[in-house]
Amino acid sequence: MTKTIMTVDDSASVRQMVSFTLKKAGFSVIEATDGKDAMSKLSGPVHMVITDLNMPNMDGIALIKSIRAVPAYKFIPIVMLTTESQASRKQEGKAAGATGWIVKPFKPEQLVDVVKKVLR
Amino acid sequence: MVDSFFSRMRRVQANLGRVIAAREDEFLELGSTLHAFASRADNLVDMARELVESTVGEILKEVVRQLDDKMETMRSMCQVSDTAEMDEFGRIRGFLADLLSLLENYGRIVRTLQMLAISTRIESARLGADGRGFNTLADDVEKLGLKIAEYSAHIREQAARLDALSVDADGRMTSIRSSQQECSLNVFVMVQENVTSLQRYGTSLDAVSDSLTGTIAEIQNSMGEIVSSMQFHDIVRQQVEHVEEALGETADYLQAHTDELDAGDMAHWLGQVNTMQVAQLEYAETSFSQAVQVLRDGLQALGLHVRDVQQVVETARQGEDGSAPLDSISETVLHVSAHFRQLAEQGGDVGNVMVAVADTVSEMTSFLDDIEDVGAEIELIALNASIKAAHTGDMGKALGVLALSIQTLSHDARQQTDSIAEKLRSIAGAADVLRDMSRGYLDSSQADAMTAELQGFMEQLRTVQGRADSLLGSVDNEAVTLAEELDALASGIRVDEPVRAALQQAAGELMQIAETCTQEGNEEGAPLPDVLQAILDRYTMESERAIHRSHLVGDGEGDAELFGDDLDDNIELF
Repeated sequence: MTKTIMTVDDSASVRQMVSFTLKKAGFSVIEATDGKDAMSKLSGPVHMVITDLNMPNMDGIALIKSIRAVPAYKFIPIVMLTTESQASRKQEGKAAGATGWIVKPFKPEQLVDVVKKVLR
Repeated sequence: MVDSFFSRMRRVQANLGRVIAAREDEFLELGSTLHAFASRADNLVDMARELVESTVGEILKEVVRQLDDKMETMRSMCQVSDTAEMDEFGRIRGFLADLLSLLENYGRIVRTLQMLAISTRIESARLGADGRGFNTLADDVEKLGLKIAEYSAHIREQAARLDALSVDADGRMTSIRSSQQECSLNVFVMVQENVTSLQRYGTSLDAVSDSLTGTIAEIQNSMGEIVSSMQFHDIVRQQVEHVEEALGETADYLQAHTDELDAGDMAHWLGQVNTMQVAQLEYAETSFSQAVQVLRDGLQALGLHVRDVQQVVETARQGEDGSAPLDSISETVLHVSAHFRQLAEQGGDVGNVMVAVADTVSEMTSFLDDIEDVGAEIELIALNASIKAAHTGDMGKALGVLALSIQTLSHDARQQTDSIAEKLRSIAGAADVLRDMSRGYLDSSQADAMTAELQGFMEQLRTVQGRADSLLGSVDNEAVTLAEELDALASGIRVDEPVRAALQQAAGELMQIAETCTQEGNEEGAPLPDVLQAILDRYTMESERAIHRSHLVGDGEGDAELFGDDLDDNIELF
């Protein structure tokens, strides 16, 4: 069965590249422009979320906390994809329930490897 | 005076806000085009893989394997027949010569019988009423002579036909042996060479396949570079946004506290802040320029790799000598198939001649009983003549001599008859051997099966050839078009030029502010207030922090690489 991954980023070009990479690898992709948009689109089978950290309306950390509060998505992998690389921010993400952290820019094979690993 | 700096910083801030963000649509359009190109490149690679591995590679190997399997069968079919059949025909012809010679002797008996019949009639007439009974004897002798003449004529006629058939069969056998010899010497060698050459070609295809795998990896690598570069629109946008925020918030803070702060300290701080932003903008400009250049290089490299795919595919299509291996194997299979058909037809012809010989011999041997009856009949006539001569007494002495002659003749006739019968039996025996042999020649099932199998190969090869030609045509066309479009796309990317110009202009403006402020500010100004320090600390990227450290603390150069040597450093799974 095709797995569905949600990509959340306020940058349309990043969403496009994530979507392009994942679709090429055989995944189905849902795009959201920020945390709030992501929560409104979070329904049905979503197997993983890849989110930016700094976004308007609702940032990545708040999004992780909101997702973890929904029983159906409590345990799905959530990976941060951000330019932020500070250890304190990573710790914050980890504490909120992030599964992993990728610092932009990513290479397609890296992203696909991470996705396959966490969805295993 | 500082007020003018605030307004200039805000103007730079406002201008920067449009520099990168306004380019998003351009990047999105580029992304869509890239997506379409990537799909086409994938499709091209799929076609190339199918051509190299499935269509040409696997099927070719399978055909070669099957041909190799059939080689032993083909070898046995091409085996030149031994001379048994020809020997058998030779034997029959020898028997026929003997038979004709025996029939010559039979002619002598017939002539003797005719003379004896005449003499008996004369003697019977001389005896008058006493010799009347001898007329019947003369009739019997005459009839027997006619009967023998008739049988001999029939046998001669059949023998002549048989001899002609044997000559015909001998010619056909020579012809089939020559075909087998050609098959064995030329056709079989050709198949063997072809199979060997195809096996070598199959092995070389593995190398071509490896080369294609390498090219595919290069394509993926180029795509990876392109995808990474595309993200720099977002990365640089954030870097510029951070500069905008720093400029705006610094101006807001200092303007709000102008009355409370020392003008010399403020100028000193403005010098520091603007110098820092110049460095950040220069870094952003370099990052963006490099990313766009990597994007252009990636697209051009992709175009080259696409052309490599075309080259690899062309290599796969051609054999060692530049000829298409599928064409070559098709020709061979066609040739071999035609040869086996010819062998089967020739075999059938020979088989039919054998059957005709056997049938003719059967007709001949149908006289065997009649011939043997002749011997018995002549003995009876001789006995009858002796009895009648004895009854006639002294008057019949002459007839007694005749009866003795008939008796002597009956002895000779019996010997001749036995010889002819024996010869006919020998011919019949040889004919039986030939009839058995004919079954092998008339049974074309092995040749038919081989021909059918070769036809099957031909069908497979035709299908493969059709698919290969179609794929090759598609790969050729698509590779040329895609490579040209990728080159055009790469050379058409100019997005970095206005961005660089705008960032350089902003950096220049800030540099002027920084230099003026540094000149006019306190040489040893007060430390940066916490609020301004916090503004400058608010960086998200390691590269920004490195630049920050190098300017404020003098720690490192802040010369962060666009792509780290080990990109996996950017991944952490909790």
